[in-house]
Amino acid sequence: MNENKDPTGISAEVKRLRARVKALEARENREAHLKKVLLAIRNVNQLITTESDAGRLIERACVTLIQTLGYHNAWIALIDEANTVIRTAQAGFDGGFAIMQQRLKQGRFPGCMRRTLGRDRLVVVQEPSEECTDCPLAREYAGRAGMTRSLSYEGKTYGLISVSVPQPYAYDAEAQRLFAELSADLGFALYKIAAEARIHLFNHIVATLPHPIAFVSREYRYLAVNDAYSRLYAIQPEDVAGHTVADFFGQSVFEAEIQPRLDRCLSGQPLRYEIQADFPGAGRRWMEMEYFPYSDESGAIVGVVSHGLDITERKQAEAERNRLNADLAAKNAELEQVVYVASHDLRSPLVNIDGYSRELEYLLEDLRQALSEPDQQAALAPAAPIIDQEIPEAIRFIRTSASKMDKLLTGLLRLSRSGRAALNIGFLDMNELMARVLDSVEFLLKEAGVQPEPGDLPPCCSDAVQVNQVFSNLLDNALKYLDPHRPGRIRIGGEVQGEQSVYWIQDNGIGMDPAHLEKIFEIFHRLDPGYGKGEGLGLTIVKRILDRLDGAIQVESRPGEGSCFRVFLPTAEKSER
Amino acid sequence: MHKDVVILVAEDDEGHAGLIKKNLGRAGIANEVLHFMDGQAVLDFLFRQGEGPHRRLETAYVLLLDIRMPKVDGVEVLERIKADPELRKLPVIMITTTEDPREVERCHILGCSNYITKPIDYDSFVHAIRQLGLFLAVVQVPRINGEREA
Repeated sequence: MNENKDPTGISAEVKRLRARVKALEARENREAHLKKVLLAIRNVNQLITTESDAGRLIERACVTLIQTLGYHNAWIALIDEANTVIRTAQAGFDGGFAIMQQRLKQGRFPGCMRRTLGRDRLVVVQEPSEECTDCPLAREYAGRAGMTRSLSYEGKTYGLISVSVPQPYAYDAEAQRLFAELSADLGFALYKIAAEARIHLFNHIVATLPHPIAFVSREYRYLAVNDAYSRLYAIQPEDVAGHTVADFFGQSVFEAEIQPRLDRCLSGQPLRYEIQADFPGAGRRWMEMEYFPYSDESGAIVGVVSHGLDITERKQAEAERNRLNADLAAKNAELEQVVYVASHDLRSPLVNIDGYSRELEYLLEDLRQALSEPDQQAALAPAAPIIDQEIPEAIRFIRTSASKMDKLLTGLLRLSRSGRAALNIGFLDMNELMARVLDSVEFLLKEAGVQPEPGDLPPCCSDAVQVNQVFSNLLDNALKYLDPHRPGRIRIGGEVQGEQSVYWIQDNGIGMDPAHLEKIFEIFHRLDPGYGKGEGLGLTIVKRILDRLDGAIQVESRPGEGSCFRVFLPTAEKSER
Repeated sequence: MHKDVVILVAEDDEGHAGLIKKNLGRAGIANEVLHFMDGQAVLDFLFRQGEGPHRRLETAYVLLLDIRMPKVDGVEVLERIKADPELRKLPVIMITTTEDPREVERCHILGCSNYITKPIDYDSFVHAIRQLGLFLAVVQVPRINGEREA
């Protein structure tokens, strides 16, 4: 200190006092500023509690922040998960923000923003008007410092806020703390709004689901039900919330039917059951109910979510189908019975027809003997043709017809029995099966000079006994209808075609006119009754067996060239499932 | 078979019964033959009930039994006979038109002695009855005592 220039020391005192006044002023200014900021924060906090729309929130926040002059201008940008700006708001900027907004939309972020995003820290730019030459807002900061912070909650960033403050306060610890508090509050508000939007969305989804849904607590209290549930029971959702399930269904029903299931589900086991009941809002319905354990964030099961699915129509269709099946089974059984009884009862009279015809033949023989006495011959000569030709012929017709009817009845019986045989479906080695079929007709094959050499046949899934019958019958036919005027040839083969194994038996026999092919599977139909023996049942039985085995048969034939029968059966894959 | 053995024929078809009798005769079976038209009649005879003829005690019988008959069918007749401690000794030969394996099995389970299908072809029928006749000629048939006459 220079005493000489200020001998009285007044000047120094004045200086000191001025400095003190200045310091006091600065302190007051600072306190005033902080007060304004505090007021701004309080106002924003009020906003947070009432505003449920993110866009409106940030707009009103910006306005509120500069109203108190705690901050001179402010802008906020909201971003999504991909850091795309989805919404902006500002206050205190004259016109530069339009350009900023455009740039933000294009993803051209200013430096302060780039440095803030993804980091939980404050970015201060002391003199944006000089430092941020590229920023369209730079001029408007006019000597004030810029503070930028992200708006985050629990690690998720919803956007950022940038404000301008007088330079001295940009580095003031308390001012920074308040700004941090402000941005944290806004971050939480944005989180809450997003969470509420999600809850609203899920509520809407649950409410509009056509399936009745109820949430029930461990204490068997309804936590919530959706619209469909309310409609089903003709109640208002608020009528059930808080009530126990027993209140709603009655104690005895609850204990007997509902509680055991809820307990099972509360122990962690989802379950499903079907139930038929009278619902006040829907009448008598079948419901398929599903219970899922409901766990809180810690994984503890705190309740049950029950879903209902109206399966009334399905049940009705099932019942109808079962009824039709039962009808069909009854009709089939009846038919079998009719065929069986008819063929049995019709055979009894035949015994007499044939028996007494034969007895008549014996008597006729006796008569002939008696009349052959020499003394009788002349007198009874006119009767000779009657005794020798006409009566025997009549008897022959009667007996032939009886025999034919016997064969038809035997055939009917056989057919009725083939439909009754129990099926034993499983994997079938067709090479083995065909070898057995060929063995059983070895004699006939030799006699016909035929050597069918089946190639490698694919296996199938079917009943061994029935399939053996199919190929025995087909082979029998092939042999029976060989052309005696040329060497017989029979070929057997097979392959897999999609979901079916196909086998063929091809012959070079007399063949059939394509016009008659439709009829060959009809019962007792014999295309050429004079040709060989048979009752006209072989192919009928084949067709019937294949119908039962989910198989099929096709035939191609040309007169004079031969026939080819193709048999379709399910592939062996079905048996391995 | 002893000449005293009586052949019972339970057969609702008189024609069949006639053919059976005729051919048993041709096979040399000259035993007495009694014909019953339904299952009830033969049961009445065997159990000595009702108004018709009753079986004699201390006599040996063989029953040729048809299945499909009015009133009581042959299977039930067989069942009743085999359930009786005395009558169960009676040889029962089923002679019927049905060759259904289930029926054959059922009758054997119930205890029939033989099961013969009536062939419709008469030559086969004659042959079958002739065989039956030859068979009957050599079998031993027990007497059935029943209760003592009062």
